[in-house]
Amino acid sequence: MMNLMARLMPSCREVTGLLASGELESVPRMKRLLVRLHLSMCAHCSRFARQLRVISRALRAAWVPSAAPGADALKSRILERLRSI
Amino acid sequence: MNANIGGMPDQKTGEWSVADLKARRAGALDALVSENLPTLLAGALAIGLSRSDAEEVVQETFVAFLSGLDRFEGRSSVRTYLFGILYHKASNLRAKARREESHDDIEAVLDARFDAAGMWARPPRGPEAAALDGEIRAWVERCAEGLSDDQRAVFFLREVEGEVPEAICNALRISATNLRVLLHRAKLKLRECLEKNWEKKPR
Repeated sequence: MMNLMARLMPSCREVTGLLASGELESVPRMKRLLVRLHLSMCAHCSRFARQLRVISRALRAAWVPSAAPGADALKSRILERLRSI
Repeated sequence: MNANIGGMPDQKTGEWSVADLKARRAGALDALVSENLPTLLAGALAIGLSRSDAEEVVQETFVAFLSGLDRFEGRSSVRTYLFGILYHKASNLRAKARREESHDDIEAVLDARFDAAGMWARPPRGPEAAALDGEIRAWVERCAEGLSDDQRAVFFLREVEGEVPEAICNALRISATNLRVLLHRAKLKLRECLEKNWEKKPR
């Protein structure tokens, strides 16, 4: 039984690859379950997963539209240009 | 076709459609710009343009969209479609647009990280705090500067905008495989860079 599990279980390289590429959402449900199981048992891979979440959150915060000065002026400029088309 | 193209069906800004834009209906132009300007500007800066180049490219993006309204097929949200136009304009503008360089560097990193059986040989280290502190955020922001334009573009659309893969492929004119590869490399690079920053930090 343990042997079968070990054979079916995706490797750390595969698990982290699926997480990073966003492919996990589109793999068969069985594979997704095995990845979850792997993550629940593997401290390294679950650290990797948490770090990816930290990175996404950080860039979401860094790249959110800022109410930069001059945005209103830019908007007026663009609208004026568009009305002339 | 009278589809609501705002991207959010119940938005308060009201219902406006491609037809409204074609007719230059009052309010439609204003709504188009108001709803999409902040994201496009953020996207242009995320790709790595200077502020003044970003403003220029954003303006030209709206112009191109309005001039070629017939080409918009509604297969992605207006916002993502606009971003696709912006991305191609930005790449052209950057004479030396940093496209994805040879893949060897990240493959080498992977080979060093894992053994032949795919188990961690050098496990990941570094921060994983649930709360995001300013230092980590600054690190990651700087790390993102090391990505190629196309890696930043897909990361922005997928992780910041939350756009679906199909629409991203459409807007950027890349294949699904290409998208996966770009995202994979972008995230691995960012994570490696985050770990490096963390290890350099004096403790």
